[in-house]
Amino acid sequence: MNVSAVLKDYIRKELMNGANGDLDESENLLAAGIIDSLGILRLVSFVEEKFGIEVPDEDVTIDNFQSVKSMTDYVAAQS
Amino acid sequence: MTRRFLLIMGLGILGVILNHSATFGYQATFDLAWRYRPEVAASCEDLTPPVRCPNYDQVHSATYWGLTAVRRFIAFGVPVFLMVSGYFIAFAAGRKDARIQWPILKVRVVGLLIPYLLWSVIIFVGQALFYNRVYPTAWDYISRLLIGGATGSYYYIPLIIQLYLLSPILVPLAKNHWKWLLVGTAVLMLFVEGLRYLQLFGIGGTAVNTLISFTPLWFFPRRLFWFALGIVFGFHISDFKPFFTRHKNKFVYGAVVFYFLSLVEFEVLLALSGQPWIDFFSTYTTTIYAGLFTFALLSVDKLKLPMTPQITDLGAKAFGIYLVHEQVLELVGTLMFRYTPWLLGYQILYQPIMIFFALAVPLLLMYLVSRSPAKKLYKYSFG
Repeated sequence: MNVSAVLKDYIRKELMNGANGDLDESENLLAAGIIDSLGILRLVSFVEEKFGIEVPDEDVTIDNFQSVKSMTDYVAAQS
Repeated sequence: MTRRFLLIMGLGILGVILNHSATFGYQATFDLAWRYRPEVAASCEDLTPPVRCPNYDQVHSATYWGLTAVRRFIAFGVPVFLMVSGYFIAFAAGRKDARIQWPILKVRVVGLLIPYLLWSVIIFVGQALFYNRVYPTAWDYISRLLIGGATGSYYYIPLIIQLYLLSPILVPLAKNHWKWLLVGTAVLMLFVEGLRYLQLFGIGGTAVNTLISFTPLWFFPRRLFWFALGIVFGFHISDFKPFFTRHKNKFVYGAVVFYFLSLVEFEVLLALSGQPWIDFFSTYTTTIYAGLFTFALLSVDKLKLPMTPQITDLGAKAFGIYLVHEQVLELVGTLMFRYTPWLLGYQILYQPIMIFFALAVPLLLMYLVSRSPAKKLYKYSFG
């Protein structure tokens, strides 16, 4: 499974409401206004369900979730 | 616990809808009883609109207890929203650096402001067209926009914006001096809410009334505690998890006890006030109940609620629902008042109708926009 592509697809569909604009792997999702308080909760929930991993609360950090790349790296490290 | 927040947000938005629907229910039961009870209408001095003929003989009826039980139960709604927003600020600040960056705050504030302004303007236009409610000057509109005055529940948006703007100060405190921060903000909240007790019994006179006028719902001191609590949870989640696990039974039983105490306290206050009716406010027991209930939800590991996926989905759409639901309640309530006034006397029917539309119409609007060419505007419409 291409983690990066799955994450991009989810973010585009669910958090950007189908916007077609480019989503750079390293784009800061917070600074771009793509994830907010609900957005981060939804992302964590999606990552857990889609990739079958449990994200401990301690791991819900900006380092792990601020971009598609950081999330991809995090998922890879957990798998 | 992070995922649990989404479920709690879903419960929170359901609670907000139930709360506001119950408010319309009180209005139907007391202020509008003349519309469906001929004996009440006969006792009114003047039935020329707008009719002001409240009737409180349904206080302590089955209808009253039903509405009151629901309204007290859902007292956790807004505190939960504020806690989740605080939790997000801790996330955005980064647990190591504990510094929130202004560009991130700016994006969040703009993300809240645009849908808020859009819906406020829609509401002002709707009020002018359908209710003939027009304010005389531009300043009347601007001042209402500044304090969330387009509709009752909009106070939340100026409030959360203030809290976000305060977060550069709150973040280091939450990281390094969290106990002092929680104690300080709790004392502030209890002091501000305590003023309402004094006012109720006519203690303190002008000084108390002045202080109350300086602490409306949209101003941060009244709800700062819940936001600060969310930031503290975010920074110290590892410390709080064993605390929640250790005390989960106390939270569950405490929530049940304080729920009933909040019902009793209000009845005592109503009786002592000597008035036929007093406005609800966040009494001390209600505030404690709201905290204990939220802690109980966070601490019970294997919490299985019916329709958890659906409630979680509502949590994800909470802001959009929040922006739209109250106008739907007003519209549906007005239609029932005009065309089926007898329904106002049957809250067991009135409430499900109100709640259904207050939930269904925002969800339908969000669905339609997200699947139309206007989907690019979704973010600016529903957050």
